Amino acid sequence: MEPADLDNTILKCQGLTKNFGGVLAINNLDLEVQKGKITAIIGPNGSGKTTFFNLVMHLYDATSGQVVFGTENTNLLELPTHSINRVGLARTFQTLRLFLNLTVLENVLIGMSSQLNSGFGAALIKPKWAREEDKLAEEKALEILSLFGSRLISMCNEPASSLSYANRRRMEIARCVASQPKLILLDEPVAGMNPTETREVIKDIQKIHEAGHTILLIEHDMTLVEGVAEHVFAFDHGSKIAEGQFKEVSNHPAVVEAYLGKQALKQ
Amino acid sequence: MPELDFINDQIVRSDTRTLKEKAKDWIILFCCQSLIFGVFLVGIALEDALLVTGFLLLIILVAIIWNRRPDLNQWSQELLRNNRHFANTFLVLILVLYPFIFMDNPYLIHLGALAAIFAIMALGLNITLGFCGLLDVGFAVYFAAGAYTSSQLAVHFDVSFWIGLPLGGLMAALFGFAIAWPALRVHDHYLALVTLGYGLIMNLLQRNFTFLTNGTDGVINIPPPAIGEWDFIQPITIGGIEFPFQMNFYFLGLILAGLTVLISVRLRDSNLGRQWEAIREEEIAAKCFGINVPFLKIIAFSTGAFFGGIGGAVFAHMIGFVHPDNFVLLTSIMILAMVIIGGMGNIFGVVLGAVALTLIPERLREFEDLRMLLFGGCLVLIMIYRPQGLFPSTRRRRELKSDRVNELIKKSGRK
Repeated sequence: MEPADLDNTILKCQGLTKNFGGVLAINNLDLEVQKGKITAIIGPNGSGKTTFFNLVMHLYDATSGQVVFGTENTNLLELPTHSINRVGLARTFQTLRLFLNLTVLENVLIGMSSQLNSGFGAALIKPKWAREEDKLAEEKALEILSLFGSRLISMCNEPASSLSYANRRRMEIARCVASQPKLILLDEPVAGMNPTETREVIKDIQKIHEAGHTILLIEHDMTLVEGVAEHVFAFDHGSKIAEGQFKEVSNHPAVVEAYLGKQALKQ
Repeated sequence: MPELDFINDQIVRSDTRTLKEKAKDWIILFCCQSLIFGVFLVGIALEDALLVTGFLLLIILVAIIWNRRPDLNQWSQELLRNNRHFANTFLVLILVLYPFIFMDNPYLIHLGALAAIFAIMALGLNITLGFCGLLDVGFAVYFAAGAYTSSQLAVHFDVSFWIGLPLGGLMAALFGFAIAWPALRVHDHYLALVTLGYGLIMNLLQRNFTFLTNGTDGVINIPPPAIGEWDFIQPITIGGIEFPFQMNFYFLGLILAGLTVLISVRLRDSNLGRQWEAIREEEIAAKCFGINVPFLKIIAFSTGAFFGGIGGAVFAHMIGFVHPDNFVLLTSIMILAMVIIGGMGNIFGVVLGAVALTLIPERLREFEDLRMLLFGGCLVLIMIYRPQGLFPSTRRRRELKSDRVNELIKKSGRK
């Protein structure tokens, strides 16, 4: 790897391992995510992709290894989850975790809440700066919602539970963008969507990328991976089995074997 | 584009009513509120068992009709939303007038004061349960903490009520903190069990730590609140009319309850309130978006407990006697029922729940032994036919910014 690339690394794990009892979910994983790129992780079900995200966000404790983030080399495994967001990571969830009874606008505001300064005292006294901060936040939230055309913004005062499935997925992404992360983790952003919707989400992801965000995504949908990813990692049984451009990885014998079995290789 | 027109129609809600329409709305609202209050007054003044039964049946009938007619529901909500200030002013006016109407029946004024105290406590629990979603079945602990702290300080150290009141609240907050800390690792039903146990243990301690609480003898001769030479059990005489002393307590309770409502509203509408609701909705996602979940849960517990303590302190000085029997499991459950029946998270609903659950058992006294049976039956019926509570917490629609929203929609629609 070129030395120039090293400075560009935003997330780096070394020897990351996680076992649930006897099951090795992540096995001695090394990988580096480049700043400013869209990187994808592919792999069959149960290959440890989501577990990897959970480890990065410290929702699980890693068995061993380390994950360092950003230019300051923050060790994410030592931080509590809420601080990880403040350091600059935000994620979506494969099994949608929206705040269903809050409005669409409020969902985005929650994404921003860790950057707002108003706490208990400000809530009671409502000083001028807190009101202005609120106004600014709302304005910014509306702007973020308008990234997704009129789909989300037209529903901004409705509860998130009234959104359609595809819009809920968009909502998850919008909430991520709102927390102004340095790295966005997308966990299967188009799971369960039809081809038209997938194409739209590809555009959305590219739009967010153009706005200057680094994206790491997990996806089974190869049209999406091919369409957006500049770098691809392939996982199987908790290890990285291949990495590189989409073309290289998709033709890699280990990847073909992982998806289709040894039989496919012989043909 | 028809789709956009529909959206515009929904979002723009600036007040375009003419003066005439406004006046019409106000008259309708005035009549409705007067009617509701009139019915309420009649209900509260009834003393005959047969009449009470008939009255309850009438209310149930109206409730059923209301539930079956979504158009009526929609209409009333719209009316209330458009004339919020008018409706609120009228409500406050009624609450202020209430004791003057029943000047010759101090017992009813006393009940009003009691309802205000329970409203304060229910609003406290509403912060923990309604906003943050933490089920606390031991709320009587904070009630007791406030009552004992302020009364013992007054009895033994001659501390004024006005100092004992906030100290009682702070002591209760400390008790809330003490249980929140260890209870953070459990959720939902398990949290309910932990707080249930906490309530039971604390009640036993109140009975046995005699050096702190006088045990089952209770704390007696608690002085009423005083301002200078005048204290709250001396009736005020204005223009030759002597107002019963219960009115003093009623207005004290009313002012404190009003403050609690104000604080609740501010907390709900703030960034903090939003973060609490996020924790209630989806804890893991809240964590991932930078919300310090344990810290905010402790804050929610302590703030809720603080209001429990405030209620307890006022209660102690109003009744003048504090006994462990006041703080048993049934008390906790009653406060919990006020929040759930009123509608978790809805401030107005919770206050109404507190008033209803303080007054209904009193009105059912006519039935003597059947009293608690009927009361329990009422609760079961409400939970079957309206499980979300009388006034479920509907999302507050933000009306501000609608012009900006329209502008953004149009911009994105053109693309």
